[in-house]
Amino acid sequence: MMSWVVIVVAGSALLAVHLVLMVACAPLVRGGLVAGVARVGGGEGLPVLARWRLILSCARRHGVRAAGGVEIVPAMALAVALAACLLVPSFALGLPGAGLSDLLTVAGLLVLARLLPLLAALEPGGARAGLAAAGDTAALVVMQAVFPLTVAAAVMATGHGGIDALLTRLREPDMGSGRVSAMLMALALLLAGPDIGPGDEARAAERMVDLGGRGRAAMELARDLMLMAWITLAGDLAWPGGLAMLQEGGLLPAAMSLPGAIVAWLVRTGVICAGIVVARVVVMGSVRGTRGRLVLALLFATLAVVVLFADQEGV
Amino acid sequence: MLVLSVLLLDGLMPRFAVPQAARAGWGLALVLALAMACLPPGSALMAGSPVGPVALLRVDALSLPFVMMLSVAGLASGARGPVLAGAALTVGTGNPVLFCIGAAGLLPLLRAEGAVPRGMVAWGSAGVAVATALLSGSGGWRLIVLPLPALLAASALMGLSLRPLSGARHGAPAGVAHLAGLAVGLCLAVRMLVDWPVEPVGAMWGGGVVVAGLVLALTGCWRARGARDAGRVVAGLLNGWGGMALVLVGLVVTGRADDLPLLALGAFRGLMLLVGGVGLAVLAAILTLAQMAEAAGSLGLARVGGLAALMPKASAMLALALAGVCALPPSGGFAVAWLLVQSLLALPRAEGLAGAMPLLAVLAGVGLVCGLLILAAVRLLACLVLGRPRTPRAAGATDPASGRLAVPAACLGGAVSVVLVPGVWLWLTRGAGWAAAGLKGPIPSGARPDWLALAAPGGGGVLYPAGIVALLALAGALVLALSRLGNTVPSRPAPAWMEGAPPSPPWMPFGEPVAQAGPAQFAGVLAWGMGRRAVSRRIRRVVRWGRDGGRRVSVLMEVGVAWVSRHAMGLVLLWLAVAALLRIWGHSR
Repeated sequence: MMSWVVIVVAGSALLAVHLVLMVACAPLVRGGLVAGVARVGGGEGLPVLARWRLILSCARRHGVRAAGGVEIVPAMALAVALAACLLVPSFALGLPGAGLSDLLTVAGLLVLARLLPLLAALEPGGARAGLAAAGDTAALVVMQAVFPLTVAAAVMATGHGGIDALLTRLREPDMGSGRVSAMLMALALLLAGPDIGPGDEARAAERMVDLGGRGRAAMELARDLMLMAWITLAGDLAWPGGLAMLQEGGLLPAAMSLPGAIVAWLVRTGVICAGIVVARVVVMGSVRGTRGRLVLALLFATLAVVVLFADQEGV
Repeated sequence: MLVLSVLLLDGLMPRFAVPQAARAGWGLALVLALAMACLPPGSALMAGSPVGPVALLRVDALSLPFVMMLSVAGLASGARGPVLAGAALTVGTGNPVLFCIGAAGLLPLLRAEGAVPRGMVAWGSAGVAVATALLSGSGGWRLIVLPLPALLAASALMGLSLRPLSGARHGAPAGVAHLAGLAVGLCLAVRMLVDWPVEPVGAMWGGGVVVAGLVLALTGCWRARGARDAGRVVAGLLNGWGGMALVLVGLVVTGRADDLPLLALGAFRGLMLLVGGVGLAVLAAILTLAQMAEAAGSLGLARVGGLAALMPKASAMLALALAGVCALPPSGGFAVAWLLVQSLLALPRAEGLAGAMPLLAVLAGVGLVCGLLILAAVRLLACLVLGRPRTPRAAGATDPASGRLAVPAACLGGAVSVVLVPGVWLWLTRGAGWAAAGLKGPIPSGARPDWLALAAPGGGGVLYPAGIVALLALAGALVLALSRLGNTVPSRPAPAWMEGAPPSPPWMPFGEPVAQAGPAQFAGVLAWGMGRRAVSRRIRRVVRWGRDGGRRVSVLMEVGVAWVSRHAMGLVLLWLAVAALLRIWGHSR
């Protein structure tokens, strides 16, 4: 029986590793997405590390700000995005703070992290940044209809709304239709949550036209962390088998299973990124932005519930 | 009750006492209510069955949360009108007839403050009277009819209506009277649908109340989204939360009807958090807006702006209050929305996919209401606090003295503490929760409130608001430490980039007022499908027909009510004569 000090220290160390990996991979993921869309769409290839270079160079510069609140809002957005990343399991279940990780809470925190930069864009009073932020706010709020539906699908499939309990239940062998339902939930969340639509990059650049220096760096990193959190959450739901589980009777996952779990997480993230690139180029390129995404997300979230009942009635 | 009666007298006759006496009276009422809430629910003062006039003056457990909330509103605002005292007296009584008289008397007072639409006064009074008459007997058919007039009266008191417009004709800027109407309407809904009926109202009606509440909430949020001044936006937000409260009342009704006390208790806890957390945040917003209006003049969204730089303290207070109203973690609104979603998922469902579809539709509607609340709050913040001033009057605003912001800050502190340590507020209102859930005798341990956690009624999870705040604080400390360790340089202030346009001419010192995002830009995306001319014309025609029909019905109703009130004495005599004749005829057969 391990003493509680060892458990707390080891759990905190695992949590720190999780956070460092998430922060390290987040700009790479967005950089990879942008580069992939450019390359597959027939454009010129971009380096994957470009996002990291941008963030670091912005952080080192003496920046400007056009309004007082812009000094603190990027830091707040980064803090909220980090808190959301702490709640989304990447490679192991049962880390400290897992009791707080509820599907609705994580979605709310990620929406809050996306909303704060919009307020920062509205503060200087510029026309283009303000219009972009106003449009983004309206697009963001209609997506709120999707999250309660995904929570309903999760609770109906597994009986749990907490992410750890939900993923643990999904790994059990009797979850036939539950796994299909979770994959549809993952699709719905990916469509409703992150800013990966056709015009989102351009609008983000317009919103940050008045921002430079460390505020810009924090805002860019917060955007990347949000995308990373959504992709990790969707990957967990789609393939919970890759996560390291708690040992029998213990409070920590087995050390031997961790490298494999990290590799599985990276593979999941890579596959989802490739899927997003293909969807952006092949499907979403012609769909008109938010409306199409909302309809598709609502459809997938409803299908996640329909699949559960279809299986029951088929048996 | 005596203290509240004196306060009512003070409100009716303002020269009755010095102004400070009103605040002192509200403070005394709050202390007394808190003392009664601290007593165990089974004690002689709370659960005894006194007889005679003492029974009329008894404040029972179900009244206490509403009396406490109204006392806080009176103490914070120092309002001396009769509305608050009348509302507190009304919710304080547990007698249906006295409640009916109080609620019907309150409607014209609320109308005078603009909190109730004109047409709803007659409908609301009729609803209260019919519902009270239905409660006087115990026939089964009465319970089938009862929810309709009760819902009508509750929505009239809360100022809810199906009108999506929010112009000057449709409602007034939010004030303390709106909060009083919300408290009385909620109390009426809970009393008439849960507490007073001898047998539980059917579960079917619980679903009906949920759907009606959702539609009213959507309409209220739509009004907040389109309102032209800050006060009306807050009134719309309050209407949205009023509709959500009706959804929760519907869940309590369903829990009682299906004998699921934990579901009823969970939904009632959501209702209490709405009254405590969201109600206090709205009160803080109302008081802060009053200070802002004093400093900046008109709070029309197209006339102010840029108050973040001019009134930083009041702007921060308003931003925090609006954050408490939105359903985003870790605010009180999020705790209520979380409990609402979990209670909806704990509802008993019919077998199969067909049983799940109505639930999914309601859940999507709840999500949409939460989204519209966020949109309205962001629109208000963007037009009022952010951006540049649009008029010279707004540009001259300055922060009030710090002492004047202490009252809204205290309300905000109360809202935050209600959310972070929900156990305290839920412990104070535990008697009401047990009464609403129908728990009698020994209380099971699962029905006792936890200090820091909110448990889902269906066992789907636990929410720790304080834990989320601690996590956010940890992440904030991490960001601060990274910023220090990375030796980053603070930014220097610079003028906003104006797309290369030349500086504003001297006669237009605030820049072109229409060259920044205004109130109209926030709704553009939501008008999907309405842009096609034929469709929009058809929709407008249907709306016009409905409006004209409603107007005719309301005119007829008003004429009828006026005619009845003119000939009341004659009608009573006629009714007596007819009743006597029928009685004689019956005896003679």
